[in-house]
Amino acid sequence: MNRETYIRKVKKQLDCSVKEKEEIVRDLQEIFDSGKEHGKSESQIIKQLGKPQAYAQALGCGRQTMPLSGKRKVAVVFLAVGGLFCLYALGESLRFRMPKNAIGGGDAMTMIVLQNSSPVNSSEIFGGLAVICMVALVFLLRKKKK
Amino acid sequence: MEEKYIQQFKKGAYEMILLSLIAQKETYGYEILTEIQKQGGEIFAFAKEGTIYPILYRLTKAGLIQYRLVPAKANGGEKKYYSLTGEGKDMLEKMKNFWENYKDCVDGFMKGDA
Repeated sequence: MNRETYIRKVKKQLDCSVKEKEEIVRDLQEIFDSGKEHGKSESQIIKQLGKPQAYAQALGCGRQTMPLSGKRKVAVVFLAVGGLFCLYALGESLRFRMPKNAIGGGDAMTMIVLQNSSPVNSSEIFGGLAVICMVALVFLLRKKKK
Repeated sequence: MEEKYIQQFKKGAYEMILLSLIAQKETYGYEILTEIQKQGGEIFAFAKEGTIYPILYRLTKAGLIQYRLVPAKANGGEKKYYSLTGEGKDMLEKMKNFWENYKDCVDGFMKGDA
Protein backbone atom coordinates (compact mmCIF):
# COMPACT_ATOMS: atom_id res chain seq x y z
CA MET A 1 0.00 0.00 0.00
CA ASN A 2 1.34 3.48 -0.76
CA ARG A 3 0.62 6.90 0.75
CA GLU A 4 -2.26 7.83 -1.55
CA THR A 5 -3.93 4.42 -1.18
CA TYR A 6 -3.70 4.61 2.61
CA ILE A 7 -5.16 8.12 2.70
CA ARG A 8 -7.95 7.05 0.34
CA LYS A 9 -8.78 4.06 2.55
CA VAL A 10 -8.92 6.22 5.67
CA LYS A 11 -11.15 8.74 3.88
CA LYS A 12 -13.52 5.91 2.94
CA GLN A 13 -13.86 5.00 6.62
CA LEU A 14 -14.71 8.53 7.72
CA ASP A 15 -18.20 9.46 8.79
CA CYS A 16 -17.96 13.24 9.22
CA SER A 17 -18.44 16.52 7.34
CA VAL A 18 -16.61 17.33 4.11
CA LYS A 19 -14.60 20.01 5.92
CA GLU A 20 -13.48 17.57 8.63
CA LYS A 21 -12.52 14.95 6.00
CA GLU A 22 -10.40 17.55 4.21
CA GLU A 23 -8.69 18.46 7.48
CA ILE A 24 -7.95 14.81 8.26
CA VAL A 25 -6.52 14.26 4.76
CA ARG A 26 -4.37 17.39 5.18
CA ASP A 27 -3.12 16.07 8.53
CA LEU A 28 -2.21 12.73 6.96
CA GLN A 29 -0.26 14.52 4.20
CA GLU A 30 1.65 16.36 6.94
CA ILE A 31 2.34 13.09 8.77
CA PHE A 32 3.80 11.51 5.64
CA ASP A 33 5.78 14.66 4.76
CA SER A 34 7.22 14.89 8.30
CA GLY A 35 8.09 11.22 8.35
CA LYS A 36 9.78 11.46 4.96
CA GLU A 37 11.78 14.50 6.17
CA HIS A 38 13.12 12.31 8.97
CA GLY A 39 14.07 9.43 6.73
CA LYS A 40 11.00 7.20 7.15
CA SER A 41 9.63 5.27 4.19
CA GLU A 42 5.93 5.32 3.29
CA SER A 43 5.50 1.71 4.40
CA GLN A 44 7.16 2.46 7.77
CA ILE A 45 4.82 5.40 8.31
CA ILE A 46 1.80 3.32 7.30
CA LYS A 47 2.84 0.65 9.82
CA GLN A 48 3.11 3.34 12.52
CA LEU A 49 -0.30 4.77 11.62
CA GLY A 50 -2.04 1.40 11.88
CA LYS A 51 -4.96 0.06 9.83
CA PRO A 52 -7.07 2.71 8.06
CA GLN A 53 -10.24 1.71 9.89
CA ALA A 54 -8.49 1.81 13.28
CA TYR A 55 -7.02 5.23 12.48
CA ALA A 56 -10.44 6.59 11.51
CA GLN A 57 -11.94 5.16 14.71
CA ALA A 58 -9.15 6.69 16.83
CA LEU A 59 -9.99 10.12 15.39
CA GLY A 60 -13.55 9.67 16.59
CA CYS A 61 -14.94 9.78 13.04
CA GLY A 62 -14.99 6.13 12.05
CA ARG A 63 -17.99 4.55 10.38
CA GLN A 64 -20.19 2.42 12.64
CA THR A 65 -20.22 -0.50 10.28
CA MET A 66 -17.96 -1.82 7.58
CA PRO A 67 -19.03 -0.99 4.04
CA LEU A 68 -20.50 -4.06 2.32
CA SER A 69 -17.96 -6.31 0.64
CA GLY A 70 -18.38 -7.13 -3.06
CA LYS A 71 -19.87 -10.58 -2.41
CA ARG A 72 -22.29 -9.21 0.13
CA LYS A 73 -23.45 -6.51 -2.26
CA VAL A 74 -24.26 -9.12 -4.92
CA ALA A 75 -26.10 -11.29 -2.38
CA VAL A 76 -28.12 -8.30 -1.18
CA VAL A 77 -29.14 -7.41 -4.75
CA PHE A 78 -30.18 -11.01 -5.54
CA LEU A 79 -32.15 -11.34 -2.34
CA ALA A 80 -33.86 -7.98 -2.81
CA VAL A 81 -34.88 -8.84 -6.37
CA GLY A 82 -35.82 -12.40 -5.43
CA GLY A 83 -37.83 -11.24 -2.45
CA LEU A 84 -39.72 -8.67 -4.51
CA PHE A 85 -40.43 -11.24 -7.21
CA CYS A 86 -41.75 -13.70 -4.64
CA LEU A 87 -43.99 -11.05 -3.14
CA TYR A 88 -45.32 -10.21 -6.60
CA ALA A 89 -45.89 -13.88 -7.44
CA LEU A 90 -47.56 -14.37 -4.06
CA GLY A 91 -49.91 -11.51 -4.84
CA GLU A 92 -50.73 -12.94 -8.25
CA SER A 93 -51.31 -16.44 -6.91
CA LEU A 94 -53.66 -15.11 -4.25
CA ARG A 95 -55.56 -13.15 -6.87
CA PHE A 96 -56.20 -16.27 -8.97
CA ARG A 97 -56.94 -18.60 -6.09
CA MET A 98 -60.00 -20.70 -6.76
CA PRO A 99 -62.89 -20.16 -4.41
CA LYS A 100 -63.51 -22.99 -1.94
CA ASN A 101 -66.73 -24.27 -3.32
CA ALA A 102 -65.87 -23.90 -7.01
CA ILE A 103 -65.69 -27.61 -7.55
CA GLY A 104 -68.70 -29.71 -6.97
CA GLY A 105 -71.20 -26.87 -7.20
CA GLY A 106 -72.17 -27.53 -10.79
CA ASP A 107 -75.15 -29.62 -11.88
CA ALA A 108 -73.33 -31.45 -14.63
CA MET A 109 -69.88 -32.62 -15.53
CA THR A 110 -67.54 -29.92 -16.66
CA MET A 111 -64.59 -29.95 -18.95
CA ILE A 112 -62.49 -28.10 -16.41
CA VAL A 113 -59.34 -29.98 -15.76
CA LEU A 114 -57.16 -28.96 -12.88
CA GLN A 115 -53.62 -28.63 -14.14
CA ASN A 116 -51.99 -28.03 -10.86
CA SER A 117 -52.55 -30.91 -8.54
CA SER A 118 -49.49 -30.52 -6.34
CA PRO A 119 -50.11 -30.99 -2.65
CA VAL A 120 -48.48 -27.60 -1.85
CA ASN A 121 -50.27 -24.36 -2.59
CA SER A 122 -48.19 -22.02 -4.82
CA SER A 123 -49.09 -19.08 -2.56
CA GLU A 124 -47.45 -20.84 0.32
CA ILE A 125 -44.30 -21.52 -1.72
CA PHE A 126 -43.94 -17.90 -2.84
CA GLY A 127 -44.88 -16.57 0.57
CA GLY A 128 -42.33 -18.83 2.24
CA LEU A 129 -39.59 -17.87 -0.24
CA ALA A 130 -40.37 -14.17 0.25
CA VAL A 131 -40.04 -14.55 4.02
CA ILE A 132 -36.73 -16.41 3.64
CA CYS A 133 -35.40 -13.66 1.32
CA MET A 134 -36.43 -10.90 3.73
CA VAL A 135 -34.89 -12.65 6.76
CA ALA A 136 -31.64 -13.26 4.86
CA LEU A 137 -31.55 -9.59 3.78
CA VAL A 138 -32.02 -8.37 7.36
CA PHE A 139 -29.26 -10.74 8.48
CA LEU A 140 -26.83 -9.50 5.82
CA LEU A 141 -27.57 -5.84 6.40
CA ARG A 142 -27.43 -5.98 10.21
CA LYS A 143 -24.97 -3.62 11.89
CA LYS A 144 -21.91 -5.32 13.21
CA LYS A 145 -21.29 -4.89 16.92
CA LYS A 146 -18.36 -2.57 17.73
CA MET B 1 3.10 -7.82 31.25
CA GLU B 2 0.55 -8.36 28.49
CA GLU B 3 0.32 -5.55 25.94
CA LYS B 4 -3.39 -4.96 26.54
CA TYR B 5 -2.79 -4.05 30.21
CA ILE B 6 0.06 -1.71 29.24
CA GLN B 7 -2.16 -0.01 26.66
CA GLN B 8 -4.87 0.54 29.27
CA PHE B 9 -2.39 2.28 31.60
CA LYS B 10 -1.02 4.45 28.82
CA LYS B 11 -4.45 5.41 27.42
CA GLY B 12 -5.34 7.40 30.50
CA ALA B 13 -2.10 9.41 30.54
CA TYR B 14 -1.60 10.44 26.93
CA GLU B 15 -3.98 13.44 26.86
CA MET B 16 -2.38 14.90 29.97
CA ILE B 17 1.16 14.30 28.66
CA LEU B 18 0.38 15.95 25.32
CA LEU B 19 -1.25 18.97 26.97
CA SER B 20 1.78 19.28 29.26
CA LEU B 21 4.24 19.22 26.33
CA ILE B 22 2.22 21.75 24.35
CA ALA B 23 2.03 24.00 27.45
CA GLN B 24 5.84 24.24 27.52
CA LYS B 25 6.13 25.75 24.04
CA GLU B 26 4.34 26.05 20.70
CA THR B 27 5.13 22.83 18.90
CA TYR B 28 4.13 20.59 15.97
CA GLY B 29 3.10 16.94 15.63
CA TYR B 30 6.38 15.29 14.73
CA GLU B 31 8.27 17.26 17.37
CA ILE B 32 5.72 16.17 19.99
CA LEU B 33 6.10 12.54 18.90
CA THR B 34 9.89 12.76 19.11
CA GLU B 35 9.77 14.41 22.57
CA ILE B 36 7.51 11.68 23.94
CA GLN B 37 9.82 9.00 22.58
CA LYS B 38 12.86 10.81 24.05
CA GLN B 39 11.47 11.79 27.46
CA GLY B 40 9.24 8.79 27.88
CA GLY B 41 11.98 6.30 28.66
CA GLU B 42 11.16 2.70 27.94
CA ILE B 43 7.44 3.29 28.53
CA PHE B 44 6.95 5.64 25.58
CA ALA B 45 10.07 4.96 23.52
CA PHE B 46 7.94 3.42 20.76
CA ALA B 47 5.04 5.90 20.72
CA LYS B 48 3.50 5.83 17.26
CA GLU B 49 2.03 8.32 14.81
CA GLY B 50 -1.21 6.32 14.88
CA THR B 51 -1.53 6.98 18.63
CA ILE B 52 -0.35 10.58 18.95
CA TYR B 53 -1.89 12.33 15.95
CA PRO B 54 -5.49 11.20 16.59
CA ILE B 55 -5.19 12.50 20.16
CA LEU B 56 -4.01 15.88 18.81
CA TYR B 57 -7.04 15.89 16.50
CA ARG B 58 -9.43 15.05 19.36
CA LEU B 59 -7.88 17.67 21.68
CA THR B 60 -8.36 20.26 18.92
CA LYS B 61 -12.01 19.27 18.43
CA ALA B 62 -12.51 19.49 22.21
CA GLY B 63 -11.21 23.06 22.16
CA LEU B 64 -8.28 22.32 24.47
CA ILE B 65 -5.58 23.07 21.91
CA GLN B 66 -5.49 25.33 18.85
CA TYR B 67 -3.15 25.57 15.90
CA ARG B 68 -1.79 27.84 13.26
CA LEU B 69 -0.68 26.55 9.86
CA VAL B 70 2.94 27.33 9.01
CA PRO B 71 4.40 26.64 5.56
CA ALA B 72 6.99 23.86 5.79
CA LYS B 73 10.09 25.04 3.95
CA ALA B 74 11.46 21.56 3.21
CA ASN B 75 8.63 20.09 1.15
CA GLY B 76 6.11 22.79 0.30
CA GLY B 77 3.48 21.41 2.66
CA GLU B 78 2.28 22.90 5.93
CA LYS B 79 2.71 22.08 9.60
CA LYS B 80 0.19 22.64 12.37
CA TYR B 81 1.85 24.44 15.30
CA TYR B 82 -0.14 23.75 18.47
CA SER B 83 -0.66 25.82 21.60
CA LEU B 84 -3.03 25.51 24.56
CA THR B 85 -6.33 27.39 24.62
CA GLY B 86 -7.60 28.93 27.88
CA GLU B 87 -9.78 25.87 28.36
CA GLY B 88 -6.76 23.66 27.70
CA LYS B 89 -4.75 25.41 30.46
CA ASP B 90 -7.63 24.93 32.91
CA MET B 91 -8.04 21.30 31.92
CA LEU B 92 -4.32 20.61 32.33
CA GLU B 93 -4.41 21.99 35.89
CA LYS B 94 -7.42 19.84 36.72
CA MET B 95 -5.75 16.79 35.21
CA LYS B 96 -2.55 17.40 37.21
CA ASN B 97 -4.54 17.70 40.47
CA PHE B 98 -6.50 14.57 39.65
CA TRP B 99 -3.28 12.74 38.80
CA GLU B 100 -1.77 13.57 42.24
CA ASN B 101 -4.87 12.27 44.03
CA TYR B 102 -5.05 9.27 41.74
CA LYS B 103 -1.39 8.41 42.34
CA ASP B 104 -1.81 8.58 46.12
CA CYS B 105 -4.98 6.51 46.00
CA VAL B 106 -3.52 3.74 43.84
CA ASP B 107 -0.27 3.72 45.86
CA GLY B 108 -2.42 3.28 48.94
CA PHE B 109 -4.07 0.22 47.50
CA MET B 110 -0.75 -1.23 46.43
CA LYS B 111 0.62 -0.84 49.95
CA GLY B 112 -2.54 -2.43 51.31
CA ASP B 113 -3.44 0.41 53.65
CA ALA B 114 -6.05 2.46 51.70
